[in-house]
Amino acid sequence: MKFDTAVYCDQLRKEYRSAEQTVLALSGVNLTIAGGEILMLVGPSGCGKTTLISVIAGTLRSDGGSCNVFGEDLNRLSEEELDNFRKKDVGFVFQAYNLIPTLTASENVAIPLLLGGMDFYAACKRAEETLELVGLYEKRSVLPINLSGGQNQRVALARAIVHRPRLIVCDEPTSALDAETGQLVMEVICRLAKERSTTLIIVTHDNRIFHFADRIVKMNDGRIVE
Amino acid sequence: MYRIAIKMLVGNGSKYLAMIIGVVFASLVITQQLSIFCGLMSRTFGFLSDTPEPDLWVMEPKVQFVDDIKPMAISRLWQVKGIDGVEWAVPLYKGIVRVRLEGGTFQNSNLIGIDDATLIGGPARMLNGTLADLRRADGIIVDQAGASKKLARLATESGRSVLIPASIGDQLEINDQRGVIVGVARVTRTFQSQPVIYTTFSRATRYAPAERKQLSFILVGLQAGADKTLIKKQIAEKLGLAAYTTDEFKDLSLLYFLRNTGIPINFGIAVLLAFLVGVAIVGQSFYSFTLDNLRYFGTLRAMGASNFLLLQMMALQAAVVGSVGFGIGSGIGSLFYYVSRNSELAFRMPWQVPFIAASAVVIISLLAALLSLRKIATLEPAMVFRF
Repeated sequence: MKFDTAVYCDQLRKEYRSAEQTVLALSGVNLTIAGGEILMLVGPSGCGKTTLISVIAGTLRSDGGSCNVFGEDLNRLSEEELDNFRKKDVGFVFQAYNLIPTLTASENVAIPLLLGGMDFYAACKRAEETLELVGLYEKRSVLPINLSGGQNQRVALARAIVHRPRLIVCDEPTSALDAETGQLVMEVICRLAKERSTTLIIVTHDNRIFHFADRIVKMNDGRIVE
Repeated sequence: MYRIAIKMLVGNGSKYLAMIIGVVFASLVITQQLSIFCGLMSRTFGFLSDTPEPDLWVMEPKVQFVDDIKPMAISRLWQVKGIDGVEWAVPLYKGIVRVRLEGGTFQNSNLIGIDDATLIGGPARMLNGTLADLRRADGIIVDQAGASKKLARLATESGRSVLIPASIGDQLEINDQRGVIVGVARVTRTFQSQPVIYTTFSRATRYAPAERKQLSFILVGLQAGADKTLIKKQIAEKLGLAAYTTDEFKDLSLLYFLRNTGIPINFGIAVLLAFLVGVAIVGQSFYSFTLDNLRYFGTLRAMGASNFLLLQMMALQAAVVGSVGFGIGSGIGSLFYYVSRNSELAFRMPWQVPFIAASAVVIISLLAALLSLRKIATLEPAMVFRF
């Protein structure tokens, strides 16, 4: 494994078992992602994209193979270490934003800092600075319900980067946005990722944003096919 | 993150309100019903609370509660005075008499006859007149509540019927004999809410229907340093009488009502229903609140919050609901107590009442949180991508 490798997956396997059937979601995935790379995962629904980013982000354990992220074999980490890994090194952007509706934009953005133990007021101050980076400083005291979809997604982006993680995973970040807003959001995400040398993994079906990627990886039936 | 937990809770206005209302309802009804229960029960021994002087109450052993009069011969008084360690012993009459009112109607009333010489056993709080006025001819003291209602005179003023409270100088016909009001006192309301009339022992036995024995109780004061337990034992062994301290006699009376009436069961059912309704409303609302927020708890979990932290946040939310609801509920209960403190309502709130209500609220909050506990405890961080 090279020193500048951010993610290294080797023969990664994941099964979902139920009483009726077993579904092989990841079937020996091999993938290497460089530090600071913007990688897009594409493929049909059910091909294993979300499972793969879940494993890479440390929210799901694989059943076989190994997944090294920044030199840590995630399968060897305890639950507490895995929680700390996500807290410190990973930022999340979700399709439906997942902003807490009763918190203001700055409070939502402050959450990763609060989880890291920062004082509430200091966290909110840093959150406001981060909102400025995504062009939403004026909206810092606004509740998500009063923001547009694009603004909500930029708040979610601010939340993903506020604690300066080394990896950001985005699950369909533009699917709920119109084309223009989607482009705008992607520009912001990619600009900040490049500025901070953050590794960015984006799961998407949206071919209008493919040009932002350094590399596009296609999956099918739990495998990387291209 | 605790601040975030509270904002998540308070920001969800309708559910927060529903939970608060559930706890307010439960704590208010529990506080109010228990307070009325305590008020009613304290009336069963109200006379004992109003008569603080004696160290011991001596009576027939078969007496079960303070209104269960089993009269003794007057000679028992002298026998009690002969027990070593007894400083003083005075007679007390307690019974029910019929009082004829001015309009010709009759009113059953409690008649208390206290020692002619010392006036021990009289009401502690005189509102008008003095205790010594009982020594005047046919003197009686009536309680304020009785004087203003059941012993009051009905008169017509400007075409309207009004009650004119009985006052000093008014006469009452007690068992065909004259009684002249010489004072008005404040006493604890009786269990049956009958008027209370105090007079001297000798006059009381004259008012009362003729009986061979007319000594209801002997009030005993002990010499300084006397062994109360030993004297009680001597009274029991030598005289065959029962002797209780005021607190023991209160307990005896209270236990009688608790064991022999349906009052505790009736109030217990009301309290239980309030508790169950509280659990149902708060539990359902809290569970629904948790389901509404599962996506956000999942997001926090994905971002590195441990299950333990999420459980702490949920526990804090339950604690806030419980505290705010209990504060409002018991506050309304206390206000009710304050407003009704001078009324006829039997309402008494010893510290045990809010303590019990608070305990019930803690249990309600815990049960409500427990319903949601599993949802949070089994939350997998990867779930967040499936919402």
